[in-house]
Amino acid sequence: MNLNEEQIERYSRHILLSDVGLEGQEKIIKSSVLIIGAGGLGAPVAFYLAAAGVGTIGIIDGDVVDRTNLQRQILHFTPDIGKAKVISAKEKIEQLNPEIRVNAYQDLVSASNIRDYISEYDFIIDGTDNFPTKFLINDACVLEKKPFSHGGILRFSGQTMTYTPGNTCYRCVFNSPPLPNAVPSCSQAGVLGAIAGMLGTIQAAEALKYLTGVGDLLTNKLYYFDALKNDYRTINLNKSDNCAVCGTRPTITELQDIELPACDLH
Amino acid sequence: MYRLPDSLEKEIEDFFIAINEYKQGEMNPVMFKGIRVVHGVYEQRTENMHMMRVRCASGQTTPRQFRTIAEIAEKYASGFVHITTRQEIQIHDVDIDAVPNIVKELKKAGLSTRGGGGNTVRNIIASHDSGINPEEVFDVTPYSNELTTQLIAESDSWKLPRKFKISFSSSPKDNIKATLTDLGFIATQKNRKKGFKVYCAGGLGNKAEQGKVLLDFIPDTHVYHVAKALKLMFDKNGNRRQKHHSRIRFLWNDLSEKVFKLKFLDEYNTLLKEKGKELKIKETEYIASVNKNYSPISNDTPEFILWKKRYVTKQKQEGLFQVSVPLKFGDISSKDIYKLTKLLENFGDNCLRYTVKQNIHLINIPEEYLANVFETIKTINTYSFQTPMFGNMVACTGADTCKLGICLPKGLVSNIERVFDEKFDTLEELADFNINISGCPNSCGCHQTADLGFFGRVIKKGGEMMPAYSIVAGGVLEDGKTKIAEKITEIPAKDVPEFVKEFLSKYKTVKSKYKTFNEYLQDSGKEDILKISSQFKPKAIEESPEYYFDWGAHEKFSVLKGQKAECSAGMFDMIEVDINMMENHKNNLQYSDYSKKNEILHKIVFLACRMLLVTRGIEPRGTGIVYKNFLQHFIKTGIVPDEYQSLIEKVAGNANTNILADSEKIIKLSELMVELYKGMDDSLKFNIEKMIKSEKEIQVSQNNIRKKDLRGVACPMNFVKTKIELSTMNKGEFLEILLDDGQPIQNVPNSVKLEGHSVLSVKNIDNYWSVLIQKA
Repeated sequence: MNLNEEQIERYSRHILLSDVGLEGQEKIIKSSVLIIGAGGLGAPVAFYLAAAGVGTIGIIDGDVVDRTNLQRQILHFTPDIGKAKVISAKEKIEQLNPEIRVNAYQDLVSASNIRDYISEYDFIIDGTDNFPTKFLINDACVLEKKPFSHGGILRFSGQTMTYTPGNTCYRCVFNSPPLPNAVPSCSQAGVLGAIAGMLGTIQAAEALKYLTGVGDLLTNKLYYFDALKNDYRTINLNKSDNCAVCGTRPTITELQDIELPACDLH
Repeated sequence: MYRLPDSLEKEIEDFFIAINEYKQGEMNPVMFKGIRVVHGVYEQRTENMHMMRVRCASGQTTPRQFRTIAEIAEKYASGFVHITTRQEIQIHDVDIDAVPNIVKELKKAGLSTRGGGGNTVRNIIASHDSGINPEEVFDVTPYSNELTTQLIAESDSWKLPRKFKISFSSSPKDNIKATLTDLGFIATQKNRKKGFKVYCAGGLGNKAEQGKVLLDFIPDTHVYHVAKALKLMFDKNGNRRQKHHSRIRFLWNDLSEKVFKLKFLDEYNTLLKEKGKELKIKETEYIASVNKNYSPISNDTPEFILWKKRYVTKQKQEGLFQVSVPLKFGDISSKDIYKLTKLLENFGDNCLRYTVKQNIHLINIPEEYLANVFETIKTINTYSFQTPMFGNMVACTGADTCKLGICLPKGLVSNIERVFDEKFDTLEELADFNINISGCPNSCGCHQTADLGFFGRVIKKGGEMMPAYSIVAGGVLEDGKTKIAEKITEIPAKDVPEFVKEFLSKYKTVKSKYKTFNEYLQDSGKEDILKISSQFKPKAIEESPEYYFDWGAHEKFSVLKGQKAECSAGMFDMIEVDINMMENHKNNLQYSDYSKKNEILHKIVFLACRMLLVTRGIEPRGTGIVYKNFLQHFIKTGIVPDEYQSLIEKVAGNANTNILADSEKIIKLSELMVELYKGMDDSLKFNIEKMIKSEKEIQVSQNNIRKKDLRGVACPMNFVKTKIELSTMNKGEFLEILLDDGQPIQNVPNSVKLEGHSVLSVKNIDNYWSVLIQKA
């Protein structure tokens, strides 16, 4: 493919990077990423991937924008209140970079539809806010052999890991969702808005690194930070033979919806 | 005659400062050598004795100027002068203390030694009979004189990669080596318009090369453009690192004819677009201008008639004659010059020339005054009463005074004469036969252009060194036919006179069968040389000790080892001196106490700042000027990071200021400067840290270079576009990019290298740069 003069200008800072260059940028432009959840994490991810020139961005979210979202979900602006989040997101992305094809799915992922959604994309972003969906995304990606970035935030801290086929999956580490209300959710415990930005941009960087094939991903690693204490650490992970989805004798071979715990955020 | 430029005043002033510093011991001898050779001052074989070479464009001076030179030689030097094979006048045995006075007195007479040596535009020479030769195309001396006046006013004429020699021949019979020099102009005509055929990249010396035709025809108005374009092109592309591989003829071979010509034409065509660059040519009138009160005398002795037959020829101007005054080895005493100039002052300003055969040539002499000339000639020491073969013989000074010399050609010439003494008359028919002798392979005696040539060498016999000569033969100088004499064999120096005698006797017996000497050579001459020389075998020292003493030598033969040619003393030697001094200071640092340490640190900063200024054409002395120039040429240009600026300003402000706290920074600066030096390319540009391969090594042909003009494209888009261009190319392919000065040239080449590609060359073209990249 040949970049036009505008594209060369727009992506010049990527082309300058010796690890990315023209070849890397071309890979980015040809790639597609699905962002599940157009909320606190999905917003920075969507912005940076769109800015970076990811050719196709899918966004899936069933919600509409409400006033409480605006403290951290920076894709959405005050006049967007009441608008479907995916529509709001599509409008912003198209303003930032008209070259991007945006697939907006106003939907909730479920056992029945998630495999269809993710199958069309090169990389998946988990930007969700509840454990059952996080496990659903993990299981679907393991079964579909799709790489994805897990992300979670609470109060002043965040965590992320990257899964690629054959490596440690989310379920290897966390086994199964906690009991409802055993772990507080954002809506109960609160979150510093900027934490969403900090973690989301790490996820975006992981996606771009995967797409260009550059550097070391957070595979077999969990990155955790506590911004309150400025404590940043990486925890090494091991793939579990007993993992229900990717172990030697997997018990999960088909997806099943787990009943969503009650969450005030919705 | 040429005219001295205004810039000479300042150049001389700087030279005098350098002489003073050298005498006070403040300047290293190597550094001083780099400065003095460019002023035409060479050290002779004896330490502290110097030779000074006076520029005589077209081999001309007025009789008055010649007299001034003779007076100088008598007052400050050996009382002799030497006419060179490039039509200059040399003054020998000069003490360094006398140099300033000589330079001043020469300047007053309108003469200069500037560019007499070193890597400069050397004396521009012209056919000695230009303007008067009945067979010539036209007079070329107005061109050589005007071109001299132009080029010696340009400061870049003094810091070329190597010497640059220019010749003008007034006819295709090239009597001035225009077909064997860096740049040669041969007068020609096209559609009745004056013009020149241009040769270049020729040269004698150890690896002699015939000149190549650069341009078949240029109108006479383009002489300056050609010379300037070649100078610029040489300056940018010449190989400064290898002194023995730096003349234009090597550049031609390294670049290939095609690339060489492309690069030349690039400069030439650019210059042609500029208006007003034509030389202002005023034709010279060749007329008799005899003093009114000077009366002719008459003479009809057989002596006078023989002399006229041998040394006097008609000019193309009716009634005017030219007189050859053959000198012994080009030497003439001041006393004899006084006699000669006294005579010549009766014949106006335009009556005196010097020839490449190291002789004096008188012109514009009316026939009725030839006897007057003869009367004077009789009183001075010349070959005028011997057969012209001797007068035409060329010999360099050899190991007598030259540091590179191996043998003693002068002693040899005397002995060749000696063996011929009795057969004097019979040599008359060989009047045109040319014997040239060089004391070493460097061909100052022009052995390659001779019919029969010799160059000095060493033969070893039983572990002992014996002086010897290689024999060459068959040199030809003529447009389209020029040929370098071919090496045939070698013989001991002691046997050369007998060899010459036997060989010429043989040649005389068969001469009538051949049209030229070369014809004979090709037929049976070479065999004759081999046959005759084989009778002369090196003899063992016990058997014939005289073989181990050169002709005219009182000591047993030896060679000076490890001597470097004076004329190539250049920039690199000067830089190395500063680096060595700097390293010594750095070593001494650890052994020094507190106050001494500070002093040493100041010296290190000073040397670090000074060492590369010479590459910017600055030879400053004194700390203030050094720091000022360093800030201007290295910090402001971004070659050296501006983090050093405050340090330099500090030391510039006060030579005693405490800089102990900066010692780490100072060491870093010194290392940085050495790094820059190591990475400097042949055209003295630093922008690339290391040349991975030279452009020459990989033989880039102009055809497979992709080009991208990135002028007007700012950082970093210029690098972005470079990368995009490279990404579409295959490994090993070439990309030439053009960049603006400033940020672009400071950044892009380095960035390209960081990506792993090779930057083969970085060249400055006017206000922009060309960078040649090979994709990794």
